[in-house]
Amino acid sequence: MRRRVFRRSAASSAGGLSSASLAPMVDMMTILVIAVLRTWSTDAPAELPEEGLRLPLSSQEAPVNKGIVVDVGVDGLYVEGWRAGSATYWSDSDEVLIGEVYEALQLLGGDRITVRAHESAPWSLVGKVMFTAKQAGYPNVELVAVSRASL
Amino acid sequence: MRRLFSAPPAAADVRPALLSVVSLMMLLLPMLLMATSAQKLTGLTLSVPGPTESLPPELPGAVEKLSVQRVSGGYLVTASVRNTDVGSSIGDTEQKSFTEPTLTALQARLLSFKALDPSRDRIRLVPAADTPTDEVVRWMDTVRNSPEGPLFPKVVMEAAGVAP
Repeated sequence: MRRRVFRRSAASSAGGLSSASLAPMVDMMTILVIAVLRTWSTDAPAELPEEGLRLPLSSQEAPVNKGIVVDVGVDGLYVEGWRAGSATYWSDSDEVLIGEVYEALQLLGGDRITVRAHESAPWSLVGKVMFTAKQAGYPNVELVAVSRASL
Repeated sequence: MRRLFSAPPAAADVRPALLSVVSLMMLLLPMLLMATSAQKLTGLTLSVPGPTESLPPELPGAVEKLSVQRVSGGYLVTASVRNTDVGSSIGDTEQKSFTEPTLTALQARLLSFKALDPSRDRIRLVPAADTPTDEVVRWMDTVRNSPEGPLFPKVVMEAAGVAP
């Protein structure tokens, strides 16, 4: 057999790992990282006191400020994770001020509350929580929702 | 001594550089997935005055009061619009009410009020007692922003039957 004078370079015959095959991978990784950075949150996952508590969806993208967390769940009302009343009872009650929530908020002290309400919670109940917070000296109220930008 | 057959100039091998980028991405991606949350929360600020406070006064404009109430069959928009007479002053207003069946129609109506008084940024919302929270949030999104730009970012919430 006749010997070739000019051999092909070793790099081109390596197969598999060429720069042309790596470029799309780098592109995909870059797109993926940007998508993750855009849609994911660096905040810790919300720890909800009830299993079935689902937050409403919103198109806003404002960060959540730190405050005393009041949860309005399907079953109960919670202040900083501690149960402070029955959601059904206070939803049906004619009273506007929720005594247990009022006392808990006065004990904790502060000027901002963060309300996390279940998506189907009636506004009368959320309104009572807001009114109670206002009476307890919390003028800054924030309602928490899940951003539509979430994955 | 000059060689008879000179070798072609070797192209720079870019693979080590690309490999380092890929390795970095492979490290970065799992770290991001572990350290972050897929649920992005957002805070909707509500104006609620304290027991001895009232809401701060608004800038005088053509629209002096603006509220939206949830009623059966839609949304009732109530506005106090200042008279267009040359001699009219603050408080000399005309009451206007419109019932809009959908959120899209409500947004279009609010856009007309925004065009009338661009400096106004506050709106009062009065949901019904049984209005679910997710509907209220959708409603707040509608009155705060529109495809044409921001509408009324300061939302004052009230609940029917609960004193503001």
